Amino acid sequence: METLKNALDFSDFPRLDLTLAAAVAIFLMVFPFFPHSSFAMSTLIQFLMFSLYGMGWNTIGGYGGQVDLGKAQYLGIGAYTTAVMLLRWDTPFWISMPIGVMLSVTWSFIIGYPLFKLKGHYFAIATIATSLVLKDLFEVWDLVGGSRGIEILAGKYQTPDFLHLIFKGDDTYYYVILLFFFTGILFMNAFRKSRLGFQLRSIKDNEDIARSLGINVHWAKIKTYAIATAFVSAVGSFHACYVKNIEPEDTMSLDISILIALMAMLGGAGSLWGPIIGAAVLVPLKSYLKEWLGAQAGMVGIDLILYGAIIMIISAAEPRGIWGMVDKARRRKRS
Amino acid sequence: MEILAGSLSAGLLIGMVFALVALGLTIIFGVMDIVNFAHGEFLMLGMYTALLTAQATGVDPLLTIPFAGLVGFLLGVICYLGFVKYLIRGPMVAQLLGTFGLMLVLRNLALFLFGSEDRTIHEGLLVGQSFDLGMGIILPATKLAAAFLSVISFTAVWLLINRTRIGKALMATALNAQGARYMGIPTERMNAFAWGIGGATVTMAGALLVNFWSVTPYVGLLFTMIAFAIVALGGFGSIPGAFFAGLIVGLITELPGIWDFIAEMTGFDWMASVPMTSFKYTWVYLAYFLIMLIRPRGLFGWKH
Amino acid sequence: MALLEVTNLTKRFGGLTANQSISFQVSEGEMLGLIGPNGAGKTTLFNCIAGLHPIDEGTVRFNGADITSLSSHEIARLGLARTFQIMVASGDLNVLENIMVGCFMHTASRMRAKAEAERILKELELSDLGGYLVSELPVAAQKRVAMATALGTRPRLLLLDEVAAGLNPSEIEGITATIHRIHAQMGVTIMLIEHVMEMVMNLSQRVVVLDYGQKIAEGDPRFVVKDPNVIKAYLGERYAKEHA
Repeated sequence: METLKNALDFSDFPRLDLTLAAAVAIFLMVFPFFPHSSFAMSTLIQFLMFSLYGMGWNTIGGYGGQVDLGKAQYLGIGAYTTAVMLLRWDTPFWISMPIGVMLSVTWSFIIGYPLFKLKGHYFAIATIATSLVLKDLFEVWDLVGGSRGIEILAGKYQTPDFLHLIFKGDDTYYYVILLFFFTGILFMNAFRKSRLGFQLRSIKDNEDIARSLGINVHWAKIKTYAIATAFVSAVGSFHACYVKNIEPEDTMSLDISILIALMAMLGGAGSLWGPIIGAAVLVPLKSYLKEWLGAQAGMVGIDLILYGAIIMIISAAEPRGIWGMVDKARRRKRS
Repeated sequence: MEILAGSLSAGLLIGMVFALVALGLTIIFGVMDIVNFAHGEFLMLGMYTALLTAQATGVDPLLTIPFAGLVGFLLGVICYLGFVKYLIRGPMVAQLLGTFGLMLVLRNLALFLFGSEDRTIHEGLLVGQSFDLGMGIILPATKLAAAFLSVISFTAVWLLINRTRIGKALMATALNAQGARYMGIPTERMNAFAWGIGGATVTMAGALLVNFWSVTPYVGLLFTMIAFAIVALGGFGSIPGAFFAGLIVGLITELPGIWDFIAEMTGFDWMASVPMTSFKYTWVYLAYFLIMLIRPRGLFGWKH
Repeated sequence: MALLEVTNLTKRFGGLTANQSISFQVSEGEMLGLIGPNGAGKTTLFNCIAGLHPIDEGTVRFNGADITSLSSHEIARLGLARTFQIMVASGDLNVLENIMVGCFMHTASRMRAKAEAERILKELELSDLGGYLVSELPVAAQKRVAMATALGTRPRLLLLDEVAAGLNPSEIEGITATIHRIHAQMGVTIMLIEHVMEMVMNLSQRVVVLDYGQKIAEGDPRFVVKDPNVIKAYLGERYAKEHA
């Protein structure tokens, strides 16, 4: 099938990029075999998760140009679906995760239809509004534990439990999310070469022109939004099994939505590697800042001040992100 | 009946204060088409300014309002000249995230400087006083003063925009920056001025608010969202729109009271068990969403 | 049956009537010129036909079907394409990719879209420029890219909106040849808005003249050019009277 070929074909990237990417891929695959701190491991897992969140966001936010600041709600739906189904009906992860995706995608279609009648900041604020509404709802809903959230007690399961995705250490989680990660990259590679990918990029350029080329703009956006949602929801389900303790404040808050958008933007929205680069910079930065400055500093938010400052500088100086800078430099060299 | 009257009066009062909070946002948006996510943080800083100045100097908190306004003006101008100016050149993603970065910086700076505990004003001329008009209408003096000053501020800003030369220059920049430049209007200065006024009005609103609303570094986001909803409802760029929309939003937040009133009147028990108070602001967010879909221009807006 | 039938088309913007009761037809295989002074409502007419603006009165029929109330993407899918005066490019897609977008209308396969786009590039002599961003190209090439992009959708009728604007005489010659090739070799019916008179006269078999939103003349270019109403529209009443 052509889609499969598209997914596996990276030939339109310069050799340098592919060599680097291969090196990173190999590093990621063998990392657990070398001595490492559990801190480094958990940071890497976070990196992989946020790369995936960012990749999902990138479809509608980067290629599509519609800044979505409400992605966290789907993280929540994915996470809570898995957690609730696990606790109530002992549902395996591999069933609850797709169900979570279906619920998220359904919700995304419901709000997507009206949402995409908006553009620009109006759209962005509306995404925040829907996300906050859902979060508020979860905070008073008994089924999901309200503001206390849900806790999965690992002790109740026979680890390693591949069915329910409960493991004792981080190592197995690492490989699961790494698998997701590679799958995600292949998917994104196919996406940007697909008809929908091209349509989106045309829409981002100029909607009137896109329409004159036969593109149903509204529908293309909604479809892409659903894809972004699926990414976030799937990883959200993973998050529930990995962290085992979820509450609305840390899974569905605005801060998380912004973080997702930010990483993609920092790395370069609208490019394949962008979200990964962004996550590679910001996730370790956040983790190690907390370590070095001490938990004390983390509480008074010094790491966030730095975060905010970085956001400000990138937004003002190079809005196309790191990849944008690389791309610009290459073009200049060519001409 | 008293519940209803009480809710309505409380809603209108707080609505006037909300309106003042939103005024700055609508000015900035009207002139520059940029949405300031850090708007609520300006409010928060205004609150802290008033609180700490009152505590440090011992003056009545109400007298700190002009000072808070000055701080807000400077903050607005500095933010514009030092940062926002560069932001507007870029794509919209960058603008949104940029002001969000500013929000993070200001919020966590406050956390660092002031700590995370709730603080509120305990001493002052009007603190703790209220007027009981009967029929369930109780007007706390601080809120009344805040509402009163809000009306004055609105009038003052409206006069500034519509009756002074500098106000007209501001409007010209808002309508067509390029054209304004050709006419010799220093649009850079107009932009900075808009941020200054925007900052000043919201910090003054904060100075009023802190008399009856406790402040923490996190209080900003809620007000940013409320301000967005008000500006969207009233129409981006419309000053009278912001005022009336503020009243409406104020009433929306009093929905729990109206809900209870209806519950009592109709005797539907199920209504009483719904935790409406938790949803107070959810309705505001929903209102934003609905307005943007049904009438994106808002009640009085001229900018789309 | 004509390929395009516009009947009594009226479009108002508030108090201003941009198009007033305009009627004309375009036959398959024709090249029709749409001329008139600035502000006569030509681009508005294009926009109405292509579905960008809702039409207040009148109908538009394309290939026998009523397209009056269809949206622009639906109309494009029926085989009516157009160029825009301003090809605003935010710089993401290069020339080849731009054309591929149109080609995707007929296929979901990237390989086929790419092949088709390359074919169109060759046809319009743009093959070397495939990898550039549209914004990097000189104006004349940009105009050809605009046409190429529209051609991706395999239109039966192509509306060209002032593709010669801003070009020097030799570039105009080049683009005239390109349009001629699109018409003669690719078999596309064309309707073009133009201000460059020699071009319109050379290319069009018929012209329609608009002034102040109304159709004031129609027919063979050589005769239309001598029509007193047309002269009056362009050069003013006094000139027309003095040279009648």
